[in-house]
Amino acid sequence: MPYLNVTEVESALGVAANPPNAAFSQLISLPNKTWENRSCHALKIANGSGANRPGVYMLGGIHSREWGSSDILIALIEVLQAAYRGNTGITLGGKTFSAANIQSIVNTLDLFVFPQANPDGRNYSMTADAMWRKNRRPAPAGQSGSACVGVDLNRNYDFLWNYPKYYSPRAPIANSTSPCDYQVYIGPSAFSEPETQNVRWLFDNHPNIHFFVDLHSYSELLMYSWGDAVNQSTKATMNFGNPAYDGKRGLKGRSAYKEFLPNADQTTSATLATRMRDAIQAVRGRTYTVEQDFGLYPTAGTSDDYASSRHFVDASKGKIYAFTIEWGTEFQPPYVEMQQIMQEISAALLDFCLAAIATPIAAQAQGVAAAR
Amino acid sequence: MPRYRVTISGQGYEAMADLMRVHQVEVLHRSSRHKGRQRYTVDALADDSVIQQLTQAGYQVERHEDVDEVGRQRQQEVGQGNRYATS
Repeated sequence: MPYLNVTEVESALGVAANPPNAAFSQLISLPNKTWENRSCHALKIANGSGANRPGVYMLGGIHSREWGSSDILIALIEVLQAAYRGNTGITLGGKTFSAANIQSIVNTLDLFVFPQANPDGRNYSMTADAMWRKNRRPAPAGQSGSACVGVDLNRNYDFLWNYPKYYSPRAPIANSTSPCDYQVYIGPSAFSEPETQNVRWLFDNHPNIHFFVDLHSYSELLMYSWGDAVNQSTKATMNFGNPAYDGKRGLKGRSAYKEFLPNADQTTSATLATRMRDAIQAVRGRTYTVEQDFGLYPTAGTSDDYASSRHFVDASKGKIYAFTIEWGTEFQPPYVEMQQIMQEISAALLDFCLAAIATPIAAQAQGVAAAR
Repeated sequence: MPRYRVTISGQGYEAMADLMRVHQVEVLHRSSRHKGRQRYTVDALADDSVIQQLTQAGYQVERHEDVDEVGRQRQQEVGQGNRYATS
């Protein structure tokens, strides 16, 4: 069994939306075609309807060379649908989910799965430069180098996107304003790319989404916001929207700027990430590390921070708990190893869904008492 | 010039920050592994000239696979045709 090519990922979504899954699965056409004129689709899995159903959004394939992210999400869709239809459980290595678990996920949640957000880049990585990371936006006029093509989509979201303004000049940030940067060009503006616009469209059109997981590789990490600075929960005015701190973000140290995250959010984020870690470990014993996005290096313009920030920027938008999984120990493991990783991350995502159902925000969305 | 995956080790936060600020290394993942007492490691893409530059600057650089060579091998593990095609 090899990696899925670009056509196969899209075809798999079409098959997943057809009978015998059609009663609880729906294909979603994303509005923006890619630079190479490809169409993108997501799949909604849900048995039931209504605005009170908590939404979980799983994203993959943003970075071209991280092939396995799309394969993981297609495998998850297939195993989840089969178990739901047959009213059976799922066993992934040493981790088991009961039939009741599976019924609960599909009957309670709206799952939105967008497995191949950057098909142009995936195709280029699979057929030309395997290490390609960006999308395939044409190079600017007058720039002919192959590296001058593309934007790093996970630097293109509207969260502190214009990093030279917001971060300290001393911040060791892995972003670039040069279109010819091979890896981390941020694009001409926030959300300049059709691929990131598609990601945002799902958030905007499904306000019941309260949970978000973006799949990447590699490092065996489970990360939660924020990526611009170390989290703090005591000074609400010290936050990404406060211009008084422009030019100061992105450094480490006791006196450095720190990003506000309410204590309860920190606790919920860490709890959900820990559930995923434990599920992964149960499959075959690998131990992923749970940590905040801001590690040694700060980030700006990433999907998880954008998702987390939406509620802070506009209080009318629902709160979203956002995560990045960095699966595996290499971008393209041999497929035999990738199949093991697919089991691990599928287990993590299924357990994430069960944990999400139990959170106060999901309980509130369903109109039941939040206290547990 | 061949590109390699390398593991770069350095002493202290400032040295690791300089990988980005001074040497503009193409780091491959967000975080770094902390090997204890201010010793950090991070994976990156580098060719021989970058490896030499970093070594001269005092970093320990471990060279791994040629990423383009391995990439071409992995491309052989990509599906041909369409397993999901309906007749």
